[in-house]
Amino acid sequence: MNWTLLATLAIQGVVIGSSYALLGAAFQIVFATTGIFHLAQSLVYSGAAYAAFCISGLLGLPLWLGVIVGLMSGVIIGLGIELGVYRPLRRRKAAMMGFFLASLGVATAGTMATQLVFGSYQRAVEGFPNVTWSLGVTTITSVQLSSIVAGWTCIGLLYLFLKKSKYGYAILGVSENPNMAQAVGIAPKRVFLLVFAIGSALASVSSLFFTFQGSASPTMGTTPTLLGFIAVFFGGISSLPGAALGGFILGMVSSLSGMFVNAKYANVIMFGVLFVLLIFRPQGLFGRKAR
Amino acid sequence: MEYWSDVAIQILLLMGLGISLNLLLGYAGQISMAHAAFYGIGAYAAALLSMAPSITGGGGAREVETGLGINVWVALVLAAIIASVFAFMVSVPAAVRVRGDLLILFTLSFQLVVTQVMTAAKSITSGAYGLGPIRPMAIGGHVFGTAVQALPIFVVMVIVIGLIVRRMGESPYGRILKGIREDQLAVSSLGRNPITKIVVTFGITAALAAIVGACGAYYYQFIAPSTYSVDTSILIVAAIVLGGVANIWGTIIGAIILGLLKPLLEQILGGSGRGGTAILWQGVIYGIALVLMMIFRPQGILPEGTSFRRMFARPERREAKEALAAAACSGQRIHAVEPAAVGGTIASEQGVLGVGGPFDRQGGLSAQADAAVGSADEAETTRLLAGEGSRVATGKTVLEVSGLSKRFGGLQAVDEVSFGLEQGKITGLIGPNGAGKTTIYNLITGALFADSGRVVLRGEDVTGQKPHALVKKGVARSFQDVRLFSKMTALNNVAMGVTGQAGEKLQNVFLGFRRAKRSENATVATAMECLRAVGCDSMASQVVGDLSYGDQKLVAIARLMATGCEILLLDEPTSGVDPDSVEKVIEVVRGLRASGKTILLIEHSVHLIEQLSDTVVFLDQGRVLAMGTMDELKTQKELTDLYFGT
Repeated sequence: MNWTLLATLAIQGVVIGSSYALLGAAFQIVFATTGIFHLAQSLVYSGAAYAAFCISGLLGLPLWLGVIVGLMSGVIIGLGIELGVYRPLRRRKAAMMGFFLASLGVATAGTMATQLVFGSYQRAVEGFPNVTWSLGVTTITSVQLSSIVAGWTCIGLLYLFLKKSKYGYAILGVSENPNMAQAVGIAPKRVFLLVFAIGSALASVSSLFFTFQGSASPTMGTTPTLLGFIAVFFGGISSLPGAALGGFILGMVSSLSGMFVNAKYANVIMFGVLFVLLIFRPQGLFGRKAR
Repeated sequence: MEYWSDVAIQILLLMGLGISLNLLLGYAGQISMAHAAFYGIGAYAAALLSMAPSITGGGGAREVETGLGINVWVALVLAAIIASVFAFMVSVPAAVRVRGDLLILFTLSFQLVVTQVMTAAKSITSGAYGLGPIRPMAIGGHVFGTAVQALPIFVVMVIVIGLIVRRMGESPYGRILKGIREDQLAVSSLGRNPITKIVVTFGITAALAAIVGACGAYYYQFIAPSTYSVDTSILIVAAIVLGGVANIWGTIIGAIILGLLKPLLEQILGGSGRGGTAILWQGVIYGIALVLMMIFRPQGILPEGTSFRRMFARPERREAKEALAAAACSGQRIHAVEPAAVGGTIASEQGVLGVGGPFDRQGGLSAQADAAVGSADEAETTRLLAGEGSRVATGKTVLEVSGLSKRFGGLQAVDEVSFGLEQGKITGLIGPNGAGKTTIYNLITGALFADSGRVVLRGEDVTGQKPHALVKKGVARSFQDVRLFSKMTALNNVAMGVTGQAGEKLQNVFLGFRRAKRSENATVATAMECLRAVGCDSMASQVVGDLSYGDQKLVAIARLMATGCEILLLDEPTSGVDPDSVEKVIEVVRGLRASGKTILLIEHSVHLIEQLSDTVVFLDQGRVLAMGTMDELKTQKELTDLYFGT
């Protein structure tokens, strides 16, 4: 047993797992409430990173301003997609297929447009304090540690919000039974807006930390969005902690599988897991059975 | 010339893929995001099978030692078979468990796995760099190496795929696929096994995609995983949806539009030296177009059912043709239902003799040619309206339910229910809402599994058998909420009920064309007959979604009659129906009894039960409270309080 490798992969697993957990949460809140396979979330992801890049990279303004603008841009893009695409579709009683393809259309057009404007280069956003700490045989950087802390803080806050606040109850109500929720005076339209704002904010946080650790690129949103999906179906469609935990386990598995199989098969395993889960336990490992 | 031939081939590739997927997505309603995976499996299989055994190739100077050097056309056929075997991995779960929205995600995950494996399994596929050189297509000594040379092959390929899909889609086989798209349980309740149909259709679709993949690989002589990625799957689905689902011409138009976008942009942008951005602009335009289409024209450019021929055909000719068809089937049938006692006996005896019954004009001509199948079909359709029952004395118990129980969570929906159905009688099943009446239907027909208890049909234990298996044994049900295929015509709905159609067998769709056609004529005649029996023959060519609810209920009964089953389970045939239609329903149900059918009837209307039922089973909270004639039941005070009112 190679203990150094194991320790390195374990730390990496915690970092990746925490980011997948956040992506899972971002996806779960949208999917559970609206039932949309929101693949256009990839545009929110890349949009937040490029906004931060514009402010802090191109214009050279301070990083905190870039972060704020990045988060706001992500939320605005998410709300824009809900208002401009999903809401008209809902009004016309489109089938699931319609939502899915429209969402794909937004993702494709958005990615390509980003590439037209910014080119296909990697764009780094500098300035986040980067210190490397030693953990015995392995190391962790300040960016990694902050991403773990930020991720779980966001998930925790969202969980409290859902369980303790009036709006949180409204979200849970709509995801449980939209008609009943409407009957007791909750407006699903507003709840949907709220949900897209929250989901987009979480995705943007994840995106910014990803960018601080590496760089932004036009297609950066695709894989995280799919991973969010997998996390949700892994953990549980109906439960936020389930989706977060699902994402975390998925990250750990993906990282630790590097011990045993070639790293290039990690994605095969991930998508394979989703494939098998959908057959045998579509409600997720920790989810309640529907109906 | 070479450039535009290449563009044409790209468009034809997309067309071939789109048309083949349309069979699955458009007709059968199974949304697959994995079409590019089968396209890729076909390409890699054909390439590896046909490549020279050991050559230096690939993007770099890699040694690939996996080629088998098989003839390209043999390799193409093998590739199609391999892809259809892979299709089981998706089709079986899709048919049995993964339904509706989840199927999108499920097929997507399959697609992603396949692309990842293509990239990762370098020792076989030579990975992301790509595989080559692949042998070009050749017939005899003639090699189709360049775009201009290969173009005719692709034209032939698309025409062949188009003809296959069209033949399947517009046949009785395709009618079942459309039925599955609209309501899988209803299809099952009409005696068809939707699972095998879905699995087979998936397999055929995958094989066609693989053929396109093989042709593409031979043409490009070099393949890489990125060609077969999820983006391609999306493009194929987009071409179908853009054009219009379940419409081959729509897919052709969709493929032309999407396929021309990039070359046209290359021409435009190339002038200003920015030809490289064409693919990006293509993505932007096509993404936005997809969003706008989904919002403003989700039915596509050419919606289902539009065809050029019909658009340009002179209307009077079309009407004449339809009138002719209607006249043809009215002339040759004995009116079986109403004078069932007489006509039925004659018809059924002819059926027993194996001489085509009502269709003896056609049957007689070709009885020797294919007597076995032909007359079996016709005997089947004869059985339907004739009612073997008219020869048998009534009163024997044909279906017996004993100790049937079902629990949903904390609710005991059905609790130790036992009763029997007597041959040729109407048994009423009554009780307040939630008494478990419809659940009993679901348990009898196997739509739900009973926790305990048995269903015995003429001495045979049929507990837990699937709805389609029970129809084959002569038990069919209707639904309270009709569950007609609302986008199909009344005639097609009823035709879906007719069992034993030759045209539903794939081998007949392609090979037994005459037999399929004859069987289809018989089916249409039978369906018309059933529609006439319920007085809805004038609505035969109307889409049922547009009919009044009363007429829909009648068409649903006609569809049930068309199954030819002896035992009919009717679920509230008059609920939500106008008074005129109620009278019609009563008349029809009486006619069915007169023709010897055994009927179980769920009804809320006491008036109706009194008029129709021979015996009544009274159910409350999942238990049988009382059984007997209506007059007997009315004397029991607690029942009167509970249900009949004062």
